[in-house]
Amino acid sequence: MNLTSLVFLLFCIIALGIYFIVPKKFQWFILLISSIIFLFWNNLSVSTVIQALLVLLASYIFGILIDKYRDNTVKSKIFLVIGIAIILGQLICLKYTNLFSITINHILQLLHIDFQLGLSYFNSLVGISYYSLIMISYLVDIYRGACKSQKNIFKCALFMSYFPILTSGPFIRYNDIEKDLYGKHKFNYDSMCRGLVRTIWGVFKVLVISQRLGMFVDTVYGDLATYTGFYTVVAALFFPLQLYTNFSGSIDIIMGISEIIGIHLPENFTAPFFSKTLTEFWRNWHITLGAWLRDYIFYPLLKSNAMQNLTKKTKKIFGKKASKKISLYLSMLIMWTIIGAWHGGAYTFIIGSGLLQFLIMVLEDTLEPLSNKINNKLGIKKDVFSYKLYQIIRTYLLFSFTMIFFRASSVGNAVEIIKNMFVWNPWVLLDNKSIFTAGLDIQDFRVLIISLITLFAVDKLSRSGSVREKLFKQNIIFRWGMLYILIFAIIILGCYGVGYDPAAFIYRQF
Amino acid sequence: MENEEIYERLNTVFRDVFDDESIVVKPETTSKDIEDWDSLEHINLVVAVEQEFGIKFNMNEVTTMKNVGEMVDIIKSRI
Amino acid sequence: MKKVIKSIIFLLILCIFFYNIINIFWLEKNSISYFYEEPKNSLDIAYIGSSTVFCHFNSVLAYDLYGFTTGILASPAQPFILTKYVMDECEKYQKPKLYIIDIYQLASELNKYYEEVNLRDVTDAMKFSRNRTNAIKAFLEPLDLGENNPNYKSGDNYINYEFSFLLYHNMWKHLSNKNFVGSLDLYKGFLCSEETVQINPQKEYYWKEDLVKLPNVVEFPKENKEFLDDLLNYIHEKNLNVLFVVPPRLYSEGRNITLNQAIKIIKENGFEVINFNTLEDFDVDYSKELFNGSHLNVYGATKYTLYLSKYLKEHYDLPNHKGDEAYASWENEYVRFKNDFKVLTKKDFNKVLNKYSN
Repeated sequence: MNLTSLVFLLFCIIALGIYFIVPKKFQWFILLISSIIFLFWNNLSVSTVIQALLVLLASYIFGILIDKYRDNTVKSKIFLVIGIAIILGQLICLKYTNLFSITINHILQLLHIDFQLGLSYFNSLVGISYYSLIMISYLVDIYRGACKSQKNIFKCALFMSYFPILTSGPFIRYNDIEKDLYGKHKFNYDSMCRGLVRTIWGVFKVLVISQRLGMFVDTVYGDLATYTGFYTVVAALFFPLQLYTNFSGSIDIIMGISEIIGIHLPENFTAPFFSKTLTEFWRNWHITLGAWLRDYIFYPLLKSNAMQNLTKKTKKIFGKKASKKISLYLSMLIMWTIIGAWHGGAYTFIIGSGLLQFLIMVLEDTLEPLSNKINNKLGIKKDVFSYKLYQIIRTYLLFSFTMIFFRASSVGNAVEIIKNMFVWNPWVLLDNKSIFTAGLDIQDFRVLIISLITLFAVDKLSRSGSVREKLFKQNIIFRWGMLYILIFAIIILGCYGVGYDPAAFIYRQF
Repeated sequence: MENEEIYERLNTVFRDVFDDESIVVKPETTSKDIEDWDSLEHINLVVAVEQEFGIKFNMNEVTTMKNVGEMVDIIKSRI
Repeated sequence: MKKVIKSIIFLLILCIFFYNIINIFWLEKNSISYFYEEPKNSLDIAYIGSSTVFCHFNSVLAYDLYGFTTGILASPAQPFILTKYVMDECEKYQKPKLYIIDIYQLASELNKYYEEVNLRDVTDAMKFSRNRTNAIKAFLEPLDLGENNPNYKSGDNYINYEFSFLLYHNMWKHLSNKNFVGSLDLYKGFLCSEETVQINPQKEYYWKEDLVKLPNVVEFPKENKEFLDDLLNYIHEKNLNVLFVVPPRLYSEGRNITLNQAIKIIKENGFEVINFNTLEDFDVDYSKELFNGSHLNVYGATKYTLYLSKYLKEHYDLPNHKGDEAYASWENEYVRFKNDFKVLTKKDFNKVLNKYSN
């Protein structure tokens, strides 16, 4: 179910309506039913039911076992490992087998061996990349003593499948959400208003901005022969915004709905494009993914005996500072490869949202002392607006570059796109005509500019406190006015519905 | 072990890890107060503290400790 | 309690805004949209069909000649299956004394000629009603809407037709003052076209008399026969007065044969059919009276209107509203027509009229 579809709107109205009508002790059960419906919507089959049950039973059973044998480190560790292996195993089988096959096929081709593995496509459930990691974190948290296992299998199922999270996250921790998820919630008018405002803002970002940007990006990337040079550059610069508005807009919808219910979820985005370095960027973009990887991969890795021994050994050869960096970079490499792979089972994701990010951040780290020296020598000040602006733009450009790989259909396609950018055709931007022929006309651009400025303003404001709170302090005419403008912007300017221009009808022959 | 001694030794560790001789930690000190104390340095710090006091933090503690005061409480409970 | 009231007021204002805004987002008004603007029970005749209707019949001329009003409820390539629903809509507001149905579209195969625009021209113009919903469902039901249909588009489903705003909100890019201030039903629906195209009838197809005598060599498309039977049942049920018309056109052989079968069925059901291709006292001058291969221009339309309106006056009991204040708009539109005709052709329409009247 698409978060911005009419079906989903209807679904939420019904689900939330029932939620607040039933006796409060059944509320969590209503959430469970809704989540099951959402999970299997248009996707109910023997294979998908088995997939879901597998993860649920593994998490539920091993969760209880780890909890029970908490005092016996050997036993509880074994249960932890088996549980994780099952969940991870199904994730890899369903999402990554083709990656392995493709890789092996490449190798076979290189070795001139005349054999190719076949590719298979499994129908996996919506949210598999989210709930798999969430349930792994559940098991690990039980093992670490951060939380207790859930003894009620239905409540466990709800934690695994809480429907708003299935499409886009955020990653939740059992400890943080337990009370809200199973708790009793009285309908709160203020929460509803605030939640609705956030949801509407999210829908605006997706339908008015993201879809619109997508029309340009898709047109340019879909026809590399026609659209070269500055077309490609603009598309590459548009794409991160398209991704951001789509992703954060979806998160806003998810958070808004949860807020109406009374469930508090962790934030995923805090105005990331105001970051001055890529390192800072990833502290503000997809925050819960970074937190998951930090707590369950990065820290355990860094703290592991293997890594500590490596540090000791390299300390003797390269010195203290260098040895710390080596362990750090090695752990980061592993972490970012996983992050890249999490985004998708293809090399474009591993490179674009993984290795390239790692590379740039390592460069940022290693070049920092050098850049400081140069700045000092040249008298360049770092705490002035102009320098910060340069840093922000530089970060955006770097991120856009990595996203070329992320968006491309293959590594070869990404290289082609980059090559395409080196065609010199600045008139495309200046002749007041050409840029409006790549999927968006001049009116679309006007809408884009105004909405991007609005987005920019709201994000900038958000860094100094909740924008919604500021809105709710204003007078009712202003509040309602802003809301009506947003709603009608979505209804009139949103990119939804039948895909083509009705004005084409005018030119038909009869 | 007395609080005073713990904080003395912690100061040494912090100064060593962050390469800053001027650091003085208090119970309320958090990662926001020390410039280089980010998630990357956090582990180095934790490992150094473990080595200094001969104790081990478990992962749960590593990810949830909010300030130096909590760290000290854990140290005291382990010695 | 106060909060509930606030919410209700918010939603109410939202709905009011929404209702007003929807009315701005339309593409083109056609005569079916204008139909609703006619005063209740002011239409004596409703003429239903496809483009041959509004190209051929000059309703304001007919009004000037004999004083009866004709509502043109036609749209380009109007699918025959929708005829019944258009009639039903008409019955709600008008109850005309006579329906004229142009049966040209009976010769078009549904799936081959399926185009979204043909449905939208009718249903987008209609007001929300059960009849409209039924029309949409009836149109979509026999169609193969899958990828086998050459006109297939992924947005083709019931929801997009029922809630046409889903399409028309995109019109925000093309709004003009017409959308806000409203527009006129020019000449009460008649399309005036003064271009002329030369057609050599020996090279094109035309109605063949002798085919009537042949056995049914071509099958009447099954669905079309069903639509026709359905329509005839409907007319019988509602006890409506109907005249069927086959427009003067150049026909392919297949169409010819199909329409002959249709004519036969209609006559068997006791209805009159005027076939303009086989009349003795009506002939089209192919060198002067067509504006494209299949439609009469304004000169041909004058000839057609003179013939048909005279026939109607003679055979049906129709009122004469001339001089009645309530029908002033029809007089005005005829005057406008004559003025525009002069500007367009530099000729005086009265002279043209005289020529054709003799």
